[in-house]
Amino acid sequence: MWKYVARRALASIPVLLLASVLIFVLVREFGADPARQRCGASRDPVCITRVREQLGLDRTLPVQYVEEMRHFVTGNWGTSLRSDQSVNELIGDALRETAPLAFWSVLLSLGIAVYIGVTSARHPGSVRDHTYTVLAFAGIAMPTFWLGLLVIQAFTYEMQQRLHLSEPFFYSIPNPVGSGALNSFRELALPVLVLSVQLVAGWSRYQRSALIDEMHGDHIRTARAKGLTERRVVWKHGFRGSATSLVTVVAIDAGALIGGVVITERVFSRPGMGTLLLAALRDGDTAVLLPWMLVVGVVVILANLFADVLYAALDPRVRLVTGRAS
Amino acid sequence: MSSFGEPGGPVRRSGVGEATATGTAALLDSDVRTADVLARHPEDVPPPASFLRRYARHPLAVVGAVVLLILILAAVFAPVLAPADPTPVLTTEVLTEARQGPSWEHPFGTDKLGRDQLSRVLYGLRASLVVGVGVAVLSVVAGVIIGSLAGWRGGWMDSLLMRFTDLFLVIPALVVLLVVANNPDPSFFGLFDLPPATEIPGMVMLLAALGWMPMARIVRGEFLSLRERDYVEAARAAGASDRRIVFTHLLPNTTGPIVVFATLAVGIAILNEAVLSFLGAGLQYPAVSLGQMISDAESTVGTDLAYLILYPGLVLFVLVLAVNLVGDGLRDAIDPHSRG
Amino acid sequence: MADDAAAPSASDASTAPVLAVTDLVVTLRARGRTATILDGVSISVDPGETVALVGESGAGKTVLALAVMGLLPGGMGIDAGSVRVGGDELVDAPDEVVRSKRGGEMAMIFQDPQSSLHPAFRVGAQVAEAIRAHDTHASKAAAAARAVELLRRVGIPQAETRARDYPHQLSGGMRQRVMIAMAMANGPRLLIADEATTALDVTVQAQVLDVLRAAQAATGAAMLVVTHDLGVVASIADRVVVMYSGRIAEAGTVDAVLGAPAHPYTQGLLAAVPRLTSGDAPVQAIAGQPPSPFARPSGCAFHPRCASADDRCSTEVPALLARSGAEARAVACHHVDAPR
Repeated sequence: MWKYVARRALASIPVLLLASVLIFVLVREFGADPARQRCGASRDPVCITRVREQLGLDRTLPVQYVEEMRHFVTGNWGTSLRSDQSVNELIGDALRETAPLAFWSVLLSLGIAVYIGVTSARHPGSVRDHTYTVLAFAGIAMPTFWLGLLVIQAFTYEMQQRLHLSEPFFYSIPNPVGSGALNSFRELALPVLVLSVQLVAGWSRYQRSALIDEMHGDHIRTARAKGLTERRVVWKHGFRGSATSLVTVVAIDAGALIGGVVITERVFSRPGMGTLLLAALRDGDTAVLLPWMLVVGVVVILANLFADVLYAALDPRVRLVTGRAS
Repeated sequence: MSSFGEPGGPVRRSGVGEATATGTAALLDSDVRTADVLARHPEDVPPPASFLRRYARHPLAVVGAVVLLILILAAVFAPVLAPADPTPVLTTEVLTEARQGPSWEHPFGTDKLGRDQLSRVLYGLRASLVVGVGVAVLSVVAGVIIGSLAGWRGGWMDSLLMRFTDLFLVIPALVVLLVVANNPDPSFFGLFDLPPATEIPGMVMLLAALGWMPMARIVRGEFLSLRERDYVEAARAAGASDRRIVFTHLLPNTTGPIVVFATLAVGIAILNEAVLSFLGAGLQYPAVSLGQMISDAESTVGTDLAYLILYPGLVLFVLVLAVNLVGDGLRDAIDPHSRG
Repeated sequence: MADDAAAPSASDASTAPVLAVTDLVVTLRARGRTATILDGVSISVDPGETVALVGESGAGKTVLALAVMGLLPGGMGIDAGSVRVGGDELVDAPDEVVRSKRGGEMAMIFQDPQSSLHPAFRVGAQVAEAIRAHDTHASKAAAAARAVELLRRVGIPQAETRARDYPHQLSGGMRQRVMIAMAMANGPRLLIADEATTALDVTVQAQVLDVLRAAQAATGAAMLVVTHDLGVVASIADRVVVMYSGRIAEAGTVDAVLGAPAHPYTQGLLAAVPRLTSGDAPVQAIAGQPPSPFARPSGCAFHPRCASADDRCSTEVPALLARSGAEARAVACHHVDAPR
């Protein structure tokens, strides 16, 4: 099985490289010029030429790209074209900001989505099911940035007013002076809430249809025929079967979160991977962009692989197909 | 699930497992799957014959359709319905109207510059719908052309077109959008000028350029499987030309998935445009966009002017929700058996 | 009236039947329409006896089996009648009572062992689960050991290693043996086999039937075999009940019914079995199709396909009446004594 997994991983790498080339070219051609940015208001052509030379932007594109890739592979990702900060540091810091956000969102959403999905699947067509369905549709249609602002309005400001607090309980921006678990909670609660709405909406629908399909299976009828309680039939036999498909979706979505929290981070002013991306694009900063893309790409590939592994772990039939002797 | 002691009449011991709202009983695999009973004698309990009836089975889809219709009408008649000019010249007359909450004169209030919000929302709604429909139409046209060519011809044409499709799929859309959309004078590698994405036509083209790929794959898949059907073989044997087969046999049978995709694409495009505009990389003055309005209003969070965030977002949300509900209803009405 | 004549059981009156179904009516409600799947069916099975339930697809035999087990799918329900297992009434009993009998006092094996076993659990564990569902004091280890013993008894070689296999690693015949082991785990007094051999190769069929016979002989259980295969009936059953369109057409000992069928339908079934000795004579299928439960013909359900039908057959439902004679027999036909 590990050979299969490794093969899949290797196959994804050319795709990732191709995407990085495309973006590199795109940003260099169409994007902002970091040299111009650094020369600021002066627009002095002499300054611009000098800075371009300094940053190596006057070389041909292929040379620039290869140089960047060499940097990436050796682990020293150079410095930002805009600010001369170490790219390793920039991305490292950004990851440290985004990771907890992604982690807690996935954890919370998974629990809620499973509960909603299973409950809906056990009583399809019921009032509860219809309500959850409407909520799921609402979650999918909800513009994230709008939801974020509404949530801030409600939980940061209104709550402070109504409860007559001296300061808001839930923060809408990171609190640099605070520390500790409580502070993290107050910072993360609202962004996690916003991210979770989206995740729960999609995952709960998925869980619902996966379980409904599963419960139609003959093995469920056999489980009932054995005299097992309905609860056991649903959770041990039914849910287990639906878990394979759900787990795949969750792992893939979770991996995509690393690069996909742009809006949420923007609304809550969190200096994570999303904010970094926006800044790098705004500045035409390929020194940051390329490693960013590759890091996100690697995370996505790993997440996909993790999904495959989980799937095989949950479904014994799959292991056989991939060539392991029985 | 099992209910006994139902009022009136003899006790009825109901089966285990769900009886779905649509009336199709749960399936058991044996020679008497309930659905088999229904399917073996389809003339007895078919789904309603007419498309409208099938659609009407889902109250949510009907509500969605009604709401969508209202919104479309509001957008079409925006010039008539709007109490004021959405992008007025900022005379003192206008400016004195600033910062007013919702009232009879200004049902959605006014912003810091005195612009009537209802008018702006109506025109923003218009822009969203135009973008949504435009992107959907373009994506469908491009996707159908490419997908049908690939699916029908097969062979090297298929490989080539699919590589091309994969290329576009590989590109991270958000990144491309953010890079290109901001550029006021985009050109295709210096060869010719492209319409900028700060205006509606450019936005539509850009979003469509990144959204046609799923349609191509779907159409290709359908064509590949339909190609093997007997009636296609028969038509080919009878000497029908390629074009005839494609247009009379293959395309009509693909309308279902096409329509479903198109509706979903509308919703996705609307949200994409809104996000881009919110980030400042989308439609700009003089175009009015709901996303842009929310972005302008961002600083009013926690103040009296927070209503400036509420209304544009609410309309955007309801619009996308209605589109999604309609799309879902269409999917079930077109193919009742694809339900999970 | 028809009760006593319904299914004459073995003559010994002190042996109470393990299964006693009386005038069972099961209906299906879907999309606002109601169909009667079982129209007043009565059946009984004594300890140690094997009764075969025969008929074409859709006759209602599986539904009857599921109704006994309390496993009717959603949408179907028992509207009238009684089901007694081991003397206890199950029709309006609480869920708990029925559930506690399932897998314990009454057990069922199904047609397709491939899909009937859970793909993600080892077979030994699945059998052990059946044990622990009814013997709450059994430890995991004890149940596992008993499971291995059961697998050995149904003829699975190297039972201890095989117990750790997953269902997909076993052949069809092995899987069905596992299902039998699971069913026999708690020494049921009633064993129902629903088309248990239909999905298997002919040679494997014979083996599985042997296992069933042995299991029954060892425990003295009553067995109800649902099948459409007259060969299975001949090889394993003591009595046979022929069903058509939710009603019993004929019932009696296997020798009597198969040797000298009285109901035109049974005659048709037997005539349709191809024989090696018939040479090139065409297979004599019964003309027509079984009716849908939604459109059961008036009077005798079989009359549209029956050569001996007359006006009375199309208006009056024939009652299942006992025939006098050497062997106890019941037939539901107006022309039962007419010359053919």
